[in-house]
Amino acid sequence: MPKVNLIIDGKQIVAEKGKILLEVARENGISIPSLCHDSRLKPFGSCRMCVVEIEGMRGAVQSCGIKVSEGMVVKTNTDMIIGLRRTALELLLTEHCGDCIAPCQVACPATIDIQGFIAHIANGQVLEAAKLIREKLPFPASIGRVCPRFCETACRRNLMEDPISICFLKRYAGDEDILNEENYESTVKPDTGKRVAVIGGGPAGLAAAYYLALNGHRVTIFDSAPELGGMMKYGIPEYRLPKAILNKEIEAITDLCENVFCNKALGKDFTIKQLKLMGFDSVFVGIGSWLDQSLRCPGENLKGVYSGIDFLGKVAMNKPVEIGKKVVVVGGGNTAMDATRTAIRMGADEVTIVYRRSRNEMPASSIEVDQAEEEGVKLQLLSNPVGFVESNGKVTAVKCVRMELGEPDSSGRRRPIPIEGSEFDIPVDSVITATGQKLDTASLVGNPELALDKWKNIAADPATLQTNIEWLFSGGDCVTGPATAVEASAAGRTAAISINQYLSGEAVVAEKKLFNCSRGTLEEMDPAEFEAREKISRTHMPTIGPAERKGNFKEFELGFTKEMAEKEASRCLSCGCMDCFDCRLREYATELGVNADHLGVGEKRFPITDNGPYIISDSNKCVLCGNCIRMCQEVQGVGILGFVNRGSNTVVMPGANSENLCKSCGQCVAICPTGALTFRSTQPKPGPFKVNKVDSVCPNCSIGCKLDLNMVGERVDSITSPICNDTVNQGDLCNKGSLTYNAVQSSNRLLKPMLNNNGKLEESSWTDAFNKCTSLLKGIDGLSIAISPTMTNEENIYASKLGQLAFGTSDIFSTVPVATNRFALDSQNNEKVTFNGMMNSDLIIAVGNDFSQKYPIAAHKFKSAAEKNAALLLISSNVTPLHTSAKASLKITDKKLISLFETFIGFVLENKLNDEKVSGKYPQLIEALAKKLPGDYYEAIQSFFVKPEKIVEFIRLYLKAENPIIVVDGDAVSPELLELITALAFITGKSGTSTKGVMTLYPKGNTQGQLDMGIQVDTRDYQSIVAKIKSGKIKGLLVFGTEEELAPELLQDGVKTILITPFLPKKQQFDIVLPSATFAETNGSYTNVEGRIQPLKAGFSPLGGKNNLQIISDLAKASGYSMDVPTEAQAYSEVISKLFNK
Amino acid sequence: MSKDINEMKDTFSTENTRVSVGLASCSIAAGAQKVYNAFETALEGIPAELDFSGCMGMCYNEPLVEVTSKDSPRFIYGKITPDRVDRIIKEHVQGGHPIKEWLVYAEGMKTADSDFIDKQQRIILKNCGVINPERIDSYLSVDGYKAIEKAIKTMTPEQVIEEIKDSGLRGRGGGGFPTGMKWSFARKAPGNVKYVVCNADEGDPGAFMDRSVLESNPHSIIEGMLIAGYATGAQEGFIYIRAEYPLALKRLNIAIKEANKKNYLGTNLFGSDFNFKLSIREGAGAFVCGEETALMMSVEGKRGMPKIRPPYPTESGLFTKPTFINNVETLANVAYIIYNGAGAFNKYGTETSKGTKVFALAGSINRGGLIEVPMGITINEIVYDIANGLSSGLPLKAVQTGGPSGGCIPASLSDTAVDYDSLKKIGAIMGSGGMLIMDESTCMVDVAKFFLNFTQEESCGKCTFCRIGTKQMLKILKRITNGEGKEGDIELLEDLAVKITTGSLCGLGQTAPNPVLTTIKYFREEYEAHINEKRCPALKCKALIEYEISEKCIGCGRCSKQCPVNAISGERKQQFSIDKSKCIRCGLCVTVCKLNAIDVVTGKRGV
Repeated sequence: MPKVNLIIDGKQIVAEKGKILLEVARENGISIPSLCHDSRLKPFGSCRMCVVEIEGMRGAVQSCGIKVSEGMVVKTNTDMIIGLRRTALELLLTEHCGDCIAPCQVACPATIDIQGFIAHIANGQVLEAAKLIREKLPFPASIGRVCPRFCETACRRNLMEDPISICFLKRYAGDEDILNEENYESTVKPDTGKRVAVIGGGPAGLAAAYYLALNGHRVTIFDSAPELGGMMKYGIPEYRLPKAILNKEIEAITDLCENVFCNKALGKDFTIKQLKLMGFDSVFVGIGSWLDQSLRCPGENLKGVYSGIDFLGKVAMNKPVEIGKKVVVVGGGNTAMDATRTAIRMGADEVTIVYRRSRNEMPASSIEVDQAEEEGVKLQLLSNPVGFVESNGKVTAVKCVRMELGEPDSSGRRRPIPIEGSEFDIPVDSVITATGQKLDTASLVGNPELALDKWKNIAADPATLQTNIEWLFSGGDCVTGPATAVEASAAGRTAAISINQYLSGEAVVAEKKLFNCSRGTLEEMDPAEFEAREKISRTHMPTIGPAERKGNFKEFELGFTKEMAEKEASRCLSCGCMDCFDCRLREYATELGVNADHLGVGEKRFPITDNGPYIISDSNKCVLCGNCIRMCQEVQGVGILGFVNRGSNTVVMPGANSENLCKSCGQCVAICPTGALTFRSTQPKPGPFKVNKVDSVCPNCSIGCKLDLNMVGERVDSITSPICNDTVNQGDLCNKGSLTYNAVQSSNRLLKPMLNNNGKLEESSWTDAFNKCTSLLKGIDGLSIAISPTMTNEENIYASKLGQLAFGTSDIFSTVPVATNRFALDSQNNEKVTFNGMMNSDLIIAVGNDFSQKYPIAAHKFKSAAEKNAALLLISSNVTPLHTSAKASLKITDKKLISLFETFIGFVLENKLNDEKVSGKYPQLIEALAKKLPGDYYEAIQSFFVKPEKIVEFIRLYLKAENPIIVVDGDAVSPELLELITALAFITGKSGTSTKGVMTLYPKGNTQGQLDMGIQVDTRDYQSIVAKIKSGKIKGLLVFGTEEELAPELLQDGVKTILITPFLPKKQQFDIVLPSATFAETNGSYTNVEGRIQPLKAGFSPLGGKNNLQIISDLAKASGYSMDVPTEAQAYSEVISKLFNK
Repeated sequence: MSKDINEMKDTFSTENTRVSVGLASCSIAAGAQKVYNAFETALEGIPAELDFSGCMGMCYNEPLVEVTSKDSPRFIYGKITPDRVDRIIKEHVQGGHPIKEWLVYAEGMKTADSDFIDKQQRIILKNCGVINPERIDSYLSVDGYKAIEKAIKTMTPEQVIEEIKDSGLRGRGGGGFPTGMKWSFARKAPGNVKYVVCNADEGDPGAFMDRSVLESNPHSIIEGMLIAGYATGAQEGFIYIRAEYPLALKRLNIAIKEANKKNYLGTNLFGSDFNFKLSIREGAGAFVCGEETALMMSVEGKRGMPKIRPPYPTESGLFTKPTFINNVETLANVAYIIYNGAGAFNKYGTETSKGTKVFALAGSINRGGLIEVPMGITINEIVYDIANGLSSGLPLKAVQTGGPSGGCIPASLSDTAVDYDSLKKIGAIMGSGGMLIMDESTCMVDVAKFFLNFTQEESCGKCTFCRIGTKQMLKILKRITNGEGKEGDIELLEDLAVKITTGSLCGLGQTAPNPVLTTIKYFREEYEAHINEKRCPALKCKALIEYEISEKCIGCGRCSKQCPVNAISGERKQQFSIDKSKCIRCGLCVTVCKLNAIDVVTGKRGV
């Protein structure tokens, strides 16, 4: 290929001439955005994102359409180009309607992936849920008990009945996580050697410590209290948040820390400066707000007057507090409620809350106020204390004044105004004031340079939480003033990210906020949209009744059961987009800093099409890139999608009869750059989930398509294929590949061994099953092993070892016999035909009826080769979809195929068109072929009911071609025909390289591997095994495979059968059935038709509990032969040496 | 100097009298078919020939009837109804006395309307409205197919291309690309199979130049394509025509059939080895299919959507073969140039814009219709001399050329010469030939909105900027005319316009913002009045105007009776009043009031 030199953004680049500029740029690390470009499709140019400037060309040039040329000078990031791209995105967004992430997550201060964790719970993967929460919040169980639930206020279910009980679901996940300690471990990055001091062990400090430690930093926590937990421990009473739960969650964090020092107070025991001198590289200050706000009325220091925080702290520490029977609590916030309810639990008879505004304005969460009232508290609203009445230095009454509400103040709440002359007294034994706290600035002594804000809080950059001292970061209440634990925890995490940047020597910048498209607030939504959806009432948290709970500090909310949690989780409306993790629209909008307010975002215009079996289509998210249309047409050759209407009313729609034509290959979904097309989930809730991609290979035919198992925990969420030139399929998949995940986790998977009990299969344990195997195997002398070609090379080789060494049999055969070539001549050792080679061949003859159905990816290859430079010739008995791409075709019945190829060979020999070198070397072959040939050539040619000249034309085209490839379906032709075809290629000298020869396709993933591993694959072998079974020579059959693969003729009466299968058998006649692992649960390799050995990795652990190599080893043991389970490397080297020794 | 019609002699010979009724779409719409039928009946037994022709261009005077006889000039009667037929036959056909008061045109004489014809320079339209478009003989009688014969017999293809280059002919579809150059690219394109395509997908609102030529002189297009094919080596041609032009389609079909029959199309033309096959492809009325790559998609039977370039059509066009596309009007010039030589063509026009240009005149003018003028004529000459000024009596405000892709030329620039470069310089374009004349009562924001509405509806929907950008611009224009314009809207419009122009895939999107950009450029204060003062100076935008009854009212009650929403009430013989909350601003009251007592006011609300 000739090369050209060009310059992109000042970078000198050498590229292949004729390549597309966009691709050249990307290959050289210069990213140009595009929504509509895909290397597999023809340039289209709809999205206009890929524009660049090229010297000498006017305006903006589309880089997805232009080819590189010598001397080209390209600029991809000028102001003009960036402006165009940004406008293009803003325009697309005006027509794009959806929520990137759900409103609950938007509302969450900790930005927890709420929709994701709820979906995990609904799908029964609660530990995955906990893991997901802990990415953002290390206290799911604790916060799940005390959070004020910003998320639930935003929940769209509010427009229907009640919000999802998000907070309690979080608690559920956290509780389950605590119970399963092994899952509690976090992955910690390697030690960085950097030390960080965290001052304050409350939610902010602990979260900072956790995320710092995960990044490999050495964390030391200092806290002034005897125990860690801060306000969570000393401010929130036991009945709401049991200390045991909190301690578990704290422990998980401190386990990751280098040191923890309690009873060490900042400002008293040490200063920040000292820490720096002690060698800490960075310091986080999260010391909260512990100083009480004064009531500003005389008598606050009287005996019997407590501050709320002081009171709760003492109770938490089991210190004696005298409150008497009559208690007044001043304030309307959560601390006031906690104090009130604690006082009740301490035996006070009459507890009154004095609050200066009305109930509506109370900052405490209303459920807490309700619960306090249930427990008997009195509310003295619109009243404000103005003084205390004392007797002997002890408070005896609170002097109050009545209030009325005036105009709203800056907080939006109506300002309370005292009513003159309305003073009254409330007699008390004690008073608890809970009217807010502030930062105790005294603790910052010795650090005069640390800046404070105008509220006397620590001043920190709100985005990075870095203070004016470079190495000092601060967050939580000491920065914001009193707020919630979830906000403090979020601040701790933010600070940890910043500190990590600081310690890594990077610039300290805020975590990039992902662009978020939103359909709007609850008020902005049209409730009518939800009318049709099923109303399901909210699951109530089981609680202990007020009468019982008020006498003790036991936790009164008991937590969801699994059933409750899953039911509640299933109520989730899944508002957020399924594509939010890999939506290119979102990615580019984030990258270019798009402002969706500039032109606005789209409104819902179309109903969501949700009636197909596999695919959900939401036109509201479509950007009309046309990828799906072109993928369906250009690659898949189906063409059921098209643009409909004009202008801004244009939509993508399937054509008439599309349900019947759609092959469900899912490639439209895979290529969709947004969430307009998504797969229907097989789970109760679709996610979205971040998936873990596991390498695999399709087991469904011998082409060897590369698969990515997209794992969510132990579950395959979907199957895609990487778009990569090095793979056979280069990203393309057929329905068999993309839907395989359904089978591997279907409900008919066999999970336990089964034993035959009087003609009926019954579940048993592995031990019993192997005992049964032992007795059964001992009694059989003629044994044969059948192995499915969906099993790996390693499994094949060890299964065959089992046969040879343990059972002493050589009758080891494939469950799916095919035509193979025994034409053992030079050609066998030469290079195999490859699909890459096919792209450079000039003629393809496809022999068989069913390539489009059975081997769609091969059919696509034929098509693209035909579009490049190959002539496609078809020999089939009927018309197939491939015929539209064919240059010529012969309609020949299967029966006549042998005589057709004999005629071809006859033509070659008669006209002496055979390759002289070959004939010289193999005179016997020519002689043998000549014997087979039809006597009267002209009569033979007449017998096909095809115009004779067409047949002659076919063979002429073949002979004329320099690099012809004949592709045969090894499942449909006889071995005799295959050998004849191979002979034709051989004697004409048209074989032996990657671009010419014969390619035989097989219907299962590893038939080629079985051939290489010495398994009997040929139909002729198979027939001889069948004969042996019929004649009673074989008395036992060990089958690794599915019941469907097992032909009835193999299942003779009197033949003992052990079936090792992944699926529940339907027939009952097997003696023993053992659950095997599918390809998705197996590490190993497949060999494809080109001879590529491709690795498979297990996506999840075998459902039956044992992998296949383990089962083989156990079976060996059962038959009295010792065979260890090989390691992956051992098994692989066996495969390789087998290949060499073949 | 032509004589005044009144000085004309009264009597002419009645020998060889021929009555020809113009039967083009415009004429038929005005009732010409009935007039033709009336002549057919009335002329029975009278020694005069009845014929029909296409469009004469004087649309404002339809139906038109031409009467000629031996030695007499062409007499054209305008606005002829069937009841006038008897008198024309009696006095003119039989008596030889033209009826002066009905004449709109008499060759060589000055009539009330003679300026309309005499100020024009007709090359393309020369035979339109003269010959019978459904008879090849009629075309042959005006030297039809002589040019292709000349080319094949006496010129090499290269010479033909040179001649076209010399003529200075530029594409008349709007782009103005030099035709000779396009042909030479096509000639040089490798491969044996090439196509020539005639773009007859005339889609600009109000434009009907191509339709008129196809209905009036279809063979001239066939001949143009033959010459193009001969010059470039293309042996097959397609005429892509909109299905909404049934008469043009019918006449083209007849013409192709007759040309095939007479071997002007087919194989071995004029005894040479040049073959040419011509077929018609009907479009379904999508405006974008006038764009050449979309047109080719449509011809191939696919959805008409523009493709990215490169590859250009001359490299890989129709069915991936080299293809070149010429517009109807461009091709209509070709035979003339080849037959008469480049000099006969390029003597008209300006330095860079040679020849003539056909325009469809519309708007507030006295004479609307189809005209052909030499390039370089000024807007003023067209408006005042040919179109005879504005019909409303109001001053000229602006002229829009180039339809939805074009721009508005303000009255202050009406001495601008009509040629490619002068128009481009002021932000307008030549376009395919629509010309809309607007008086002072026109709201320029509303005009911009009208054109943008058209383009956004006709966008093919493929590329982001055109599909959504035009919609967003329209949204802004709508809010401005609704009185909800915001500060910064003009700048936003300008910003979007520039981005759409630079970022769109094809010409449709690239030019769609032009009407907005030129109206902002020349009438910015009108936009500002809408946005800042909530005032529509032209009193057109309903949301910004109110109707008020002044003291001129005598209380006749006519307006109240006419009001469709009963918004007007009052005591008889006293001043009536309008309930503004009910008023829908339809303006009926103003129309019926004989005393001009109803005022339209603007700018009161919201300021």
